[in-house]
Amino acid sequence: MRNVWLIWRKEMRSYFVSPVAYVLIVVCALFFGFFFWSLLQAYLQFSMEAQMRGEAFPMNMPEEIARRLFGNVPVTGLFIVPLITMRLFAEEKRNGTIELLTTSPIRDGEVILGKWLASLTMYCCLLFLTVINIGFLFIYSHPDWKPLLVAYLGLFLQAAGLLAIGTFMSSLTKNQIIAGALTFCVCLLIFVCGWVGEYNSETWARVSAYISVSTHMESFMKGDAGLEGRHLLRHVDFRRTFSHGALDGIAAVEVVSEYRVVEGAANKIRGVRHALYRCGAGGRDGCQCSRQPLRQVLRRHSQQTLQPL
Amino acid sequence: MITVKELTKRYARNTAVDHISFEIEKGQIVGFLGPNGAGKTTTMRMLTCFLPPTAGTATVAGFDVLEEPMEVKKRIGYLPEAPPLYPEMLTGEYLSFVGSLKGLRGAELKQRVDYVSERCAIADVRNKQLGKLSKGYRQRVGLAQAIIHNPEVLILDEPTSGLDPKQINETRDLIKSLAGDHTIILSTHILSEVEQICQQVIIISKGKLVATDTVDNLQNRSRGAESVLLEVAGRNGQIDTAVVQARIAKVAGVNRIVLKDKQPTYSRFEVETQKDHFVRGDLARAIVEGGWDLNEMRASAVSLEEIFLQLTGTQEAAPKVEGVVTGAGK
Repeated sequence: MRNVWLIWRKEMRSYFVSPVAYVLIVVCALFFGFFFWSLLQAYLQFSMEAQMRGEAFPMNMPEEIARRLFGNVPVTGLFIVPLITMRLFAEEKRNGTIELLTTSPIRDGEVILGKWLASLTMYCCLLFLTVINIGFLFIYSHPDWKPLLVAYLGLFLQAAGLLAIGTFMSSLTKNQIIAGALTFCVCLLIFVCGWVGEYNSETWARVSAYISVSTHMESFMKGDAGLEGRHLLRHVDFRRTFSHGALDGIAAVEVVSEYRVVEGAANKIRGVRHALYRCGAGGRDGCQCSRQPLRQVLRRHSQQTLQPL
Repeated sequence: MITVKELTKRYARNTAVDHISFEIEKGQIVGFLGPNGAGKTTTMRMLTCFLPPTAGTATVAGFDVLEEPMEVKKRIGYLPEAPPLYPEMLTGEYLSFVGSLKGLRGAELKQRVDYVSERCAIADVRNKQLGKLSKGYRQRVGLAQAIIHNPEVLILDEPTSGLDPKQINETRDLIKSLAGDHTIILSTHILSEVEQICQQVIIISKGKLVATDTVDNLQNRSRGAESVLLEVAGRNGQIDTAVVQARIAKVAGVNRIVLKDKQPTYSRFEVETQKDHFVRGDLARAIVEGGWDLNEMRASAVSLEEIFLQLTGTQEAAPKVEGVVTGAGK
């Protein structure tokens, strides 16, 4: 464990000593800020139009803003993940420092785990930037925090899986660009391979839909964490398969034992899920045609979302 | 301390190391010699558990490199050909990182970092980034990381490459001073280095072991002879090289004469003579009595160079030396 911590610390340091971390943070802050701003604008526009027409228009703020914002995060992540992971092993190989690590009394698994955890930590730092945006919603209104938390859990697990792929790809080559490009291709493929499941129900299509990240993200985004822990388990699988695959292959026994842990967690999450089901939307707006300040609009909608259908 | 039996490493197309066996005792400094591509680095990498051998066994300090790699790794300090440095780290920070990787901690770690920075003369760059260090410093930091956990076995791949002559001497002294407690294997292509600091030599060529012996034995075995370098000048500004050569060849104890340089006014010869023979006096007398001037006479250093060339079979590739005359005293 101490060795994992050592490697983690070294990796975190090299992210933050080099400009890598700062460039990524600035880029992500810009993008997330832009997504949030434009989604908020669109939301205000819709709600105003609905009021002007005097229709009962179902509006749900977490649904409209947070969920769409979170829907954009994985797309950004698709570009960010290769940038985070490509150097992990490729740089060590290029520098020759891999010889130091492999001839030191430290297990391969510890090196892999340390590096993967560091990349995950780096990703979480970027993910934290969205918390700032979401924070504004909390300042001006009272959204339900539970589905947001589940969405974060989904994003976290998804990133864990993709970063594991990136770590694996980086261990294949000493060229960072090749590692990055391979990671990007595989991640993109995993994003889109679910499409075949939409028009095809043969076994291979169902399998590829199951592999796809996006199918699993949908339920997380709705605030539904894992039907019977299925999605969670899949994410755990991913990490195991790829981090071990980098050198050792899968330890099947461990996967089974992990499955039990995950099942327990899923049962707990199910309680949250039921609570979340009730957060539907209900638009019973009166006919008011005057321009309303942002604060008022947001507060009204957020209160509505808390009413059971 | 190190036992290697029939060690073999095969890649897809070629065999880098072919059934090598040797044994190294505790406290020895062993020179690992061979032309480029002979398999020195591959052998070292197998000893440090970086590469798994295709066949054969290697044990370090009683532990097999395949069976108990962790135990081997704990007891080995390794300096690869290119020092394994993280360019963005500071020197001191890097040493503590490596130290803790090797299992040191707390006060002991701090004490060892201080000790190795002192020992390898890198204390003045402890707060500098590794990427900004000069080649000499990088090499010394590499050496410092290899000895930080006071390992029983030190494996150094070309430890003096890229250093200036003063640094080379310092590094050699450092390596020599480490012997005794540590068993040291170092690969090099500088033969004089082996003569100076090693007790034992292992010569490999094209993946095969060609000789393993002590430095002294190897020198004695290959030649019971020594070389003398002569510069002879004609008194009237002219010299007939062939005559001089014939005269030298008549001196008792001369085995071989090689004409090194031929100028209108003087000639240079390398004369191989039998050992323990007072041939130098005879040579000088023969030249002066023959009516020539003896400008220079010195013993050319007996080196491993020729032994090495003989053993590794690269002699044929070397440019042919002309004017070889077999001595009459033979």
